[in-house]
Amino acid sequence: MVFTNVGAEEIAVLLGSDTGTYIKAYGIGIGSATDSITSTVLESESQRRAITGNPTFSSQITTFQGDFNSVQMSGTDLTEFGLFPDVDADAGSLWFKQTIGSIGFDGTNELQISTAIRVIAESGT
Amino acid sequence: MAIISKIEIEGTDYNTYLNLRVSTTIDKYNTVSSFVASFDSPYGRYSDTFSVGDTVVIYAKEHTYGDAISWSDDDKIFAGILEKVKFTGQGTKTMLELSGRDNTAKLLDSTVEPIVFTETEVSEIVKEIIARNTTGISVNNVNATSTTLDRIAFNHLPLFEALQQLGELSGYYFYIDADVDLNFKENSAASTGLTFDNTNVTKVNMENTREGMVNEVYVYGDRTLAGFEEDLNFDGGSVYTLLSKPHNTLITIGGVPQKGGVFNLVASPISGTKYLVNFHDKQVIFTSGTDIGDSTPTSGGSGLIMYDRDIPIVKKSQDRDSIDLYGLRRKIINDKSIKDPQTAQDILDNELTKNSPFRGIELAIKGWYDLVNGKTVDVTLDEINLDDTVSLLSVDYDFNKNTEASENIISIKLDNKIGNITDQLKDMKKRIALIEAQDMGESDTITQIETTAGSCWVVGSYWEVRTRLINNSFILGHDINGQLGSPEVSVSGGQVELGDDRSALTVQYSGGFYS
Repeated sequence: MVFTNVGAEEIAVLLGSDTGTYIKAYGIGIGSATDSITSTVLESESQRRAITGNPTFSSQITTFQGDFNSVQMSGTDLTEFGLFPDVDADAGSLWFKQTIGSIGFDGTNELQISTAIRVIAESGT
Repeated sequence: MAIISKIEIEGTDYNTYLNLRVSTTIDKYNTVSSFVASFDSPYGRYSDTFSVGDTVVIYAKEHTYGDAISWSDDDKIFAGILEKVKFTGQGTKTMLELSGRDNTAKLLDSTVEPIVFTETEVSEIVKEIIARNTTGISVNNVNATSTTLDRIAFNHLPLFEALQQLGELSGYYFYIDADVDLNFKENSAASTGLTFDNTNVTKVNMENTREGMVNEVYVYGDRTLAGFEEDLNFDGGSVYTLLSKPHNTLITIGGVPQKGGVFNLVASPISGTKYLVNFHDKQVIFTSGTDIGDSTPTSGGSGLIMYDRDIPIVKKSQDRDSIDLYGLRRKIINDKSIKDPQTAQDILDNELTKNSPFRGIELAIKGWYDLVNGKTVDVTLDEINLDDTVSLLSVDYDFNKNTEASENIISIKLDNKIGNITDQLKDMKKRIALIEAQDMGESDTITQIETTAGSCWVVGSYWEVRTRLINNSFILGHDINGQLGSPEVSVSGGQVELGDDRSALTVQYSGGFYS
């Protein structure tokens, strides 16, 4: 039995489609915990914003963009970000998490994050 | 010279067997092998060594004493799986018997779920039924045929027999190789190039028999009801005979439907009944009597009767020359799973190929011969008046210390298989399966849930974190760049300005992968 490329494409689209539970927001934080598949929250979330516009869908890949302006970011030392199915702070469980080296924001700079998720089909057993 | 052999199970050689038998049945359309090996197993020597499902490979070849022994794939005579591990006896007398079949035998363990193919090339059918009804069998060596079938239906037919049927129709043969890959290839009656005569034959059995012969065949398939109508021209009588036995009758007179009943069902027909149906005599009888009145139609009038006729799928054929020579050998096949006349005709034609006495030949052979790559041998034995090229039916290898030293390993069966009680039981089993399958249709809907693993996965992702400077851009709500007018200056020291003075984005971090 195989799961087809078309099926994978549909699943990729569902990640960001306005159907049921889907990815709606980027959260950013200042925690440094190791990324784990059991994570449900950022270690120390500082704010959350809706993704910019609509996701882009292309060949089993769905891409989400998040923008945070200089006013929103001022005073933050960013070390983690994630994707959530809910825009409200501390609501919903984390779908995607990434920890990075620290980036300081002092009011002179702003942030943009882009995350592309790909679904791959392959022969099963 | 001697013959040597070895059995390899899960990659380990076990050469302590007392006896090892390998049987290969060579059909026109397939080849199937099995093995049985017996070992001494005192006090549990092999108590936990073997498991059902272990892979088994058996090698054999001719060997000259003193030469080093080496094995190659050309020496393989069997590749399959262990299907039974059987211990008997007790203590020092414990015996172990291992047995199994080759990979082709896996096809005997599955049936083809009800399906119909129309206008489909045979190799496509083969691939489809393998995909739908098996797991773990690849189809890399299923070759395209030049045969496209108008229609073929399978109704829980064993997969092995389905492939055999497709092989017969396309002239191809099949087997599953050591890599569990189905081979479906064009058939050829290639000769082994071997001749057996008094120099290498140690024992001969030959018989000619009428047993199994057929020279007249009836094939009865399913029956179908089909609508029919007749005009009734009334002559003053009450009984009218029809052309066929009527099912579901409806009589109209002057366009008015008449109420009917069943002849002899009750002593006195119910009031209002106008006619009775005498099914077996193909009659309708109009009623008349003191209580129910006279329904006999007026002479000169007419009516219409509509009914369903029961039409059977039936074919008959005979070979007159064979009957004259050998006497009548009639066979009746009553198979409700036959639902079209063409299938009935195909079965009929196949049965009539058995119109001559069956000749069965069994030879015990001295020496080692490659009997796998070919389908015929030449046999010259004057004492039984035999000088012919005949087809191989089966090859049996019997390995033990005595037979290997004396080179009396191989016995073969040739020409036609003489039916025995086992064949009759197989035939009965097959016919019972067909009877049980008649109510299972390809149009029936079967709801199934099937689980599978590892067929879809999400790659982590590719991500980028980017930043840029706001420079002199006016930013609403910004402590510094949110102030317009002179001498206000921006975070970068210039005049705050309406418009976008931001720098290009710079990737600070990125990660993940796509493939």
